[in-house]
Amino acid sequence: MTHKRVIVVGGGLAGLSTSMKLSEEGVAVDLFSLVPVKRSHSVCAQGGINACNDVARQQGYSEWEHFEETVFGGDFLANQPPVLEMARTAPSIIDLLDRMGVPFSRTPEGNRDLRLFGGSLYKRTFYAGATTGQQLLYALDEQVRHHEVQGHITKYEFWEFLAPIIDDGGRCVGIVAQDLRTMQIRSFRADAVVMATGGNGLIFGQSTMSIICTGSGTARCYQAGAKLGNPEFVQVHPTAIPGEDKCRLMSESARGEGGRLWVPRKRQDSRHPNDIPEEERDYFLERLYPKYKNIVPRDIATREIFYICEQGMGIGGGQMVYLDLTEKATGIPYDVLKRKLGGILEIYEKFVGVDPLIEPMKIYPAVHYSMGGLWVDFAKDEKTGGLRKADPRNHMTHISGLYAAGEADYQFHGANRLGANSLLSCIFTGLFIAPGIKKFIESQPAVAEKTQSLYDNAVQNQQAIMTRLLGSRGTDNPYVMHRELGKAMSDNVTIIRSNGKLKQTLDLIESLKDRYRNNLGLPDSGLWNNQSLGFARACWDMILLGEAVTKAALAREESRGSHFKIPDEFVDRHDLPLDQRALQRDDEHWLKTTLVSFVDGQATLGYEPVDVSLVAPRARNYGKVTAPATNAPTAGAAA
Amino acid sequence: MIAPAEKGKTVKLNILRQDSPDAKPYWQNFEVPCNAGSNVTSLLRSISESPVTAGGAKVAPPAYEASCLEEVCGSCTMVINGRVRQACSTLVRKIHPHDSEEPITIEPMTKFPVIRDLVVDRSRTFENLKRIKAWIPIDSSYNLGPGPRITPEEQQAMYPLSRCMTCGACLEACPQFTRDNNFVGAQIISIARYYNMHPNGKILKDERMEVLMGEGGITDCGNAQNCVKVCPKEIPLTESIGVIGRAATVYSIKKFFSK
Amino acid sequence: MTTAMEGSVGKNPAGADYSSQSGQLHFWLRRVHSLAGLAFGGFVAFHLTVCATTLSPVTYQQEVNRIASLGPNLAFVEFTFIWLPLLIHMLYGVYIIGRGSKWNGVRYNYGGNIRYTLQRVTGLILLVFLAYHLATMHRWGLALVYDLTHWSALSSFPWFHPSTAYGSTVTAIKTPYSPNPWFWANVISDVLYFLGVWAAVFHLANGLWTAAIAWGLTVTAVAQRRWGNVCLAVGIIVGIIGTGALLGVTVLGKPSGNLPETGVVVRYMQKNASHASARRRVPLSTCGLTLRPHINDATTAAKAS
Repeated sequence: MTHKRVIVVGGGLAGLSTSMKLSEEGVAVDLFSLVPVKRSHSVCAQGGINACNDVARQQGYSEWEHFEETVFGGDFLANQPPVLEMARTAPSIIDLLDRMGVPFSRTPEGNRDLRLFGGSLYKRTFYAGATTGQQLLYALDEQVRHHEVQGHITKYEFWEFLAPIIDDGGRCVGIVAQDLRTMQIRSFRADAVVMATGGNGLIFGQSTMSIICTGSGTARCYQAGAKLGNPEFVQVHPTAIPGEDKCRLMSESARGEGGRLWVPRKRQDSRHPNDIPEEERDYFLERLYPKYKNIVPRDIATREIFYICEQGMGIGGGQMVYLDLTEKATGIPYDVLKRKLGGILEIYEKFVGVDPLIEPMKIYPAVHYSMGGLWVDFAKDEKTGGLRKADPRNHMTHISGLYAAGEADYQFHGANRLGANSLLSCIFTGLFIAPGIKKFIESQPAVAEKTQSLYDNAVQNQQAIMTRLLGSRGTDNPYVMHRELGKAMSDNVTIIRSNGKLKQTLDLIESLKDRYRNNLGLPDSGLWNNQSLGFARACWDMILLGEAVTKAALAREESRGSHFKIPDEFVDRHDLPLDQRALQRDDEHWLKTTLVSFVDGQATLGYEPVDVSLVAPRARNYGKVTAPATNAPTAGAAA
Repeated sequence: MIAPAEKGKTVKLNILRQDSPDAKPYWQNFEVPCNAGSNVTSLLRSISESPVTAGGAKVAPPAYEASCLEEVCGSCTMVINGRVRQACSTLVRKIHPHDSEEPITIEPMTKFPVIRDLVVDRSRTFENLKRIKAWIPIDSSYNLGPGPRITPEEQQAMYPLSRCMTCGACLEACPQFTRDNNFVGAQIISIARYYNMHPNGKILKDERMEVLMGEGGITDCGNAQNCVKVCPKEIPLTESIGVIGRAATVYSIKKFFSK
Repeated sequence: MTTAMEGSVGKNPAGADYSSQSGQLHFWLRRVHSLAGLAFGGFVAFHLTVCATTLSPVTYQQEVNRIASLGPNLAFVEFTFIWLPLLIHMLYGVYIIGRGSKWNGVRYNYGGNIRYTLQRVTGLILLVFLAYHLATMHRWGLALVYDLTHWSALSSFPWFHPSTAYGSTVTAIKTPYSPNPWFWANVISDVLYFLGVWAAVFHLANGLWTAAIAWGLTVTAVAQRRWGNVCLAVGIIVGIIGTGALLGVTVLGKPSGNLPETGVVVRYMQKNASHASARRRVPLSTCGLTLRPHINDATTAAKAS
């Protein structure tokens, strides 16, 4: 009897939950990861994980509200059935994590504590201090370790996924991967492959993401024929510590727990923030959004910060605002916040050298999450409105047998992700799709019978690429090219976008492609733990992803969620509010999913409708009041 | 989105390199740009962008591990200026006096086999997690209701232990942990304590104690207590060692009289 | 869970036994080592206290006599509380040190680490010192050899003698070359004794501190600090007592000291038939104690009773 196997690429929450569930279903799993899975980027998630809960339920909340908020937060670009299924499953996922021993923060009675998070007026976010992602990742890591010890899961850590192997029938039947230490390239057979390789923040240079988040896993499937969905939707998180190597996230939970954003009313006020009296502070989010205050969704908070700095009202006239957690501003005692937010406070203290409970933090938005990713299918259950369970179509890419899960896919979050929904979507996907994958591999002939030459050819292709890269003797260092790409993407394709700048970026990307092909110089030509090789390969992937993101953004002639487009002639009209300068959401023409395919070395755009069968799109402004930016009354805003 | 930088400043680096596991280590000097917010990982990245030694020789960039850059993933542990640290949270301005001509020394950890340059093989620590059954046994991932109720006091005692990122700093600084013995070190002892605390994790407590009372277990601790000093997450490691020591005493007596 | 998959996986150490390796033997060895250390440490404290009475030679003799009065039981007591624990603690201690550790007290110069290093250093010092101590007091067991052989050449070596406890101790601790306490070789010997005693005191106090962690008595950092202070106090007290003992037998010691109470006069480096015969009757005597009193010496016997 032949055992069928599934390869999971990526060991973050999505990869681990998929592996765990597959193993539990009796499917052997080979788990590939660039780093020990315990070091995956999920570890960076801080704030929490959303789910409807008994307290919120008794206040009028429900799974439907959770679904509705998520769809609304995503500006109606998300396919609705998967979101509904996720929201419905969320409470049981929390229970499961609880059973796995995640040290959720507790109420005095011993129940799991809840906090407020962006885009909701109900407390529906479970958390473990301010390191929720780490705690969740570790809990899953441990479960997977248990399965590993039992022999059901084999880990390949420090292995890099190079390409999917696709047979004549267009089915993914394995992968090519490289051992990052010995540099050995070999093929692995698999009856199905799951890509759980996370986001692509690194194409923006500095982001809140780990430096392994190059998106190359996604990009390699994209080059092999899988399509990208909505790549232009990139979340810029409002609050991060600006940094030269990365922007370190200051979780939304800081605001959920009472943190307030403000700038001095006086332009370029040079006083110490603690010396600026209450009436001389502009709590601009509270002024503009009296209902949601500091916990408006991220795209909105980000734009308001951008705008207030554009107006020259940032700290010292620069690109920073205060995120205030001091007792004076929040009214919450030092010890309470220390306990609830310890993890992120430490990060600020370590990297900035200031205790943020004593002195307001200086923050600015930073690229944080890829809503877009590999396009994946779903199978709607007409009876429940959600998804059909154990359907092999769920989360399958355009390539048969190739699945995507977690941040690597484009599902759930539409044009803007709500805070604390990503941990949920990653774990939900993994748990939900495993039975469908099992059904898929059972329905297909075993890949063990496939001809060996298919695999040998794939290995030879990758060896040829490696040989070419190792022999490249040009003058363009891949790390420097990445920096150039990152700067252009960060400057032009993040918070506000205009066609002129997007075209400039595409030109730069074209020239980077050209330089990469003709003038790349690899600083290391060795065949042992050669990190430059891996980075150079990823650099190409990042250039291609940058192209896909920029092209899709250029084409989308509207503003929606994180995609905010200002016609060229209005870009510098600082006298006008952002809303008045930008294009409006255009459901008639643009309520559709962008599909990017890789054709003849180019990103090629296509579109498909969004499933909005459950909630009709409506205007999204979170009760913004239009008031002049200066001299606005602040009384009551602090309440 | 880039922090204001001090232009034109450089810093000297002295890096202990090793081309492969069996090769002889050698020192190499670099001089790289350094800004107000520079940390050791950003200096290493600078070398990758321009891999030229202080003497002007073109070399392969030093290999190093790094991922999250915010001290939660545990990748970038190395010995910097003679002390084990996370390279990402080691800010140059904190360890290096302003305008100092002295180089910053960067070495790989000494307690693990070197793969290349600053990259070491820490698989031993992950294998040890298997040995002590570092998991909570669950029936399945089906929906079986919530976990046990846990008081905030219990949670607050467990949470710091659960922040261990398997970085290896405690092991590097531990005089009892060497390449040729099989001591598990503070990390594993503390993780075992964590699982023993959980109402369901307790199910495997005896099995963990059996491992920890064997060779390389709790009794191999020499109480130098470096672990707790170098732990980047300030985990109460020595307290965990005390707790497991107590559990070992109780367990051994219990076992003596009951089995 | 699914057992059907077992054995189907390639390189994974499937079904590998991650349970205990060498059972609990290792654990018990360590704990016995700890107990042995505590037992021997107790003896050291007692021994130093007895020796501190050398500041008053008469009291010292009385104490020695009291010990000697245990008669045949003394052998048992010595074996149980001195030789066996010492042997276990020493041998296993050497094994622990030899088993490989990377001392790094310079690189990580935290208090705990320095104490850790010193614990091992003092352990090794004590190994040497105890040998030296036995050598000076009992001349490497020559007393025993003499006892068995009556070899006259050995009779000139001074060693501890319970019947003339004070004088013989003071004499034995000196090098055989000169009774002058300020003679260079004697000064070196005194320094060695000083080092040895303080090494023992540190090893004992720090051992008490680590034992409390090992046995799980002190768990939290606060408790460990508190107990650390107690250990420090114990160390200081035992150290003062030990120093008193040192002073009593070294710089303040009078090798030819006349003890009117016992009437015994010890003459340094002098062949004396009565002493030679006295020594002959002293069997294996140990660290400042003796297995049995010198019953043939009438005066001593009278005191001993």
